[in-house]
Amino acid sequence: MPTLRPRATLRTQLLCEIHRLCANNVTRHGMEWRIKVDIVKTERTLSAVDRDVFSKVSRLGRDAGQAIMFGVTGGDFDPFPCAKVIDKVMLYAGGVPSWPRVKQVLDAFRAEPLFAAAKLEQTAQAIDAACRSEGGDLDNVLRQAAIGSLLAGHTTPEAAASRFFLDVVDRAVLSPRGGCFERMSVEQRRMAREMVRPLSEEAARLLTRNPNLKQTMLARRYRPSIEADSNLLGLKP
Amino acid sequence: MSATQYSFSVNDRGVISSIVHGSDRFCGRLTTPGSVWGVTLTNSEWDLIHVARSLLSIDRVARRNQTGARRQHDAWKRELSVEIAVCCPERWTAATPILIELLEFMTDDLWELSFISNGGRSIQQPLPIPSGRPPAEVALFSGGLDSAAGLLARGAHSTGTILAVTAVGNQIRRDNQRRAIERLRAQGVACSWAPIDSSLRECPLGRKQKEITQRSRGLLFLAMGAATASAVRVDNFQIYESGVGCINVPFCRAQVGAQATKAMHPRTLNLFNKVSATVLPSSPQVRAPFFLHTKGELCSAARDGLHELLRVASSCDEGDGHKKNAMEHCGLCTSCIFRRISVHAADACQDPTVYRDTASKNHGEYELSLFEGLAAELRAHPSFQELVSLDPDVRFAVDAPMTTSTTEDLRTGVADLFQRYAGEIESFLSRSRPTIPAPVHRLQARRTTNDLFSAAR
Repeated sequence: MPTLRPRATLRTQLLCEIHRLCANNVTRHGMEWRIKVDIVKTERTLSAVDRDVFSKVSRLGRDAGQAIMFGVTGGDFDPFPCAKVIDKVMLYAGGVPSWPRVKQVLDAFRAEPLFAAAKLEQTAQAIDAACRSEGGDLDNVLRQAAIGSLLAGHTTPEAAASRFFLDVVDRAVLSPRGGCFERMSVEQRRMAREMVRPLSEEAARLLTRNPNLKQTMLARRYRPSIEADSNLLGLKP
Repeated sequence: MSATQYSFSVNDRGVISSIVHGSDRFCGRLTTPGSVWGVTLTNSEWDLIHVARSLLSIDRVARRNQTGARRQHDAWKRELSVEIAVCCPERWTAATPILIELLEFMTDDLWELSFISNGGRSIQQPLPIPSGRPPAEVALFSGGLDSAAGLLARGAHSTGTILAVTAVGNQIRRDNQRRAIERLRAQGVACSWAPIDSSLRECPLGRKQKEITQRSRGLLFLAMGAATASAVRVDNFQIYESGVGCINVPFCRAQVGAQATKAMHPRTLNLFNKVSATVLPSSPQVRAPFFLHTKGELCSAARDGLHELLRVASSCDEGDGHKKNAMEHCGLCTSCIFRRISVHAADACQDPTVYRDTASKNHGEYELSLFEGLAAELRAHPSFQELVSLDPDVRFAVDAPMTTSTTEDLRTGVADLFQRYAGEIESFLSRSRPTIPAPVHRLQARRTTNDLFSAAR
């Protein structure tokens, strides 16, 4: 299993370390040296352990994790950071190369409802083959999501895509080590997934409409707008 | 094409070369043994072990994600083209489509295989079987808790000797495995031990430069079992793996495909049986007698002997080559927690294993949360159909090589199995959840040890 360590956690650790060193009157030169060592080690850890498309959105993942954490503990959930995570993952991965074929397979399956039961395994294998031939990080996530969705009886492409985006957010935001996963209870994790579901459904609609989509531009829809009674961040007092 | 691409060849002397821009680069050498347990291997048996060893060695030297930062969306996938010199290329060419299917399922890579003749090998005169008669059963033995407990449980009912086949990578591991076998013999299990060297020699890559995932490892173990069973003329060979370990449902949604190992997955076993039927004339088949048992139940089956086994069976992901006490466990990796859950469920004894229980960058509270989350997911998916929606690969559980169960029995059995497993996890976490002490900060620790002027403060 890949160990996903959000840059966020390490940066936070680093800031704590700076505060601690300041409190202990460590010289500036000593502090800089120690921080430099920590940064180099951090970067090495990231490059040695992560190295997939999700490792590129670890900072965004931190922000999204905070928004979700705020949401599950009774505050208002801001979907903007999560939408941005989806946008960036899609952008860095160059879309989901196997999706057009997977969608075709699902459409063909739905076109013959009489033979649905007989063709279930055949369809699952066709999806497996489509995703395997591309074999990118997102294709692997899609494979699990699409087959799981199909076997659960949700045969529409939208359902598969929605589960796919939910899994993307799960992987980039909820599951990484040192993030939400350790801090949330099982119930809160379930709530978090429910909270993100509308977002994943929205992204699924976009992807189904344009199977070759490389950028979802989802964050635009959730970006706070600057109005007469808001501040420059779009927040209303 | 954006995946990491490799091309390898394994020649008639077992030399593995990577082909880069038309020239060969030496990657290591393997010496496949000519006999197992004193029995000379036939060409087809030797081929099976040789091919599996070659593929595992290539899997270890071909690192994932070597294409550069611009192509990070293909971090896992590799495209591997391999040519292997074997004694019976016709058989292997016929088995190639199934073997590729098996490898792709186990590793999530794209494989292209071709086989050429190695011009034949010199075969020693057959030696007599050491014990005078063939063993009653051939079983894979890793030295872990599953296989040791399984051997103990099966040994109690076996009428003859059980031949334990082991892949040996290094001397420390070999010594530990030997100790485990001796302990089993002391407990009255009639077993013989057949260690087979699995190391790659003269490899220019250091330990940390090799690919750590090694997803094709299961193929080598199965190949050793099949070749040994064929050599000693036994129809099938056993794996003492619990059903939970075989199916290996992902801990969370972040774990996709081969990121959860498929070494003993029912589909792996089923596909391997097909490969074995094609390449070996006697086509021995793999059997999983404990497939419908949790690891806790497997430990329970070992009864009074479990306490002694826990002292010699190692489960930790850390390995045992670099520790002062090879039997020390980190206590917090997923394998250690799985072991603790099982021993707690077996409720047979106080666990004598030494667990360090110190959080590190790789293991800690996260792993405990993973198990907690898994138990909750399993509780939320009680039927077989729901389990399949959680992890689509569970549907292959009906292919498990069981001798007696029907498809419907297997579906019900697997669903029950995971509910019992969820119960074991919940029970362990509620009663014996490990307490992890707050980590001592690295700089604090360094200051304590290296502080020259502490007296002046």
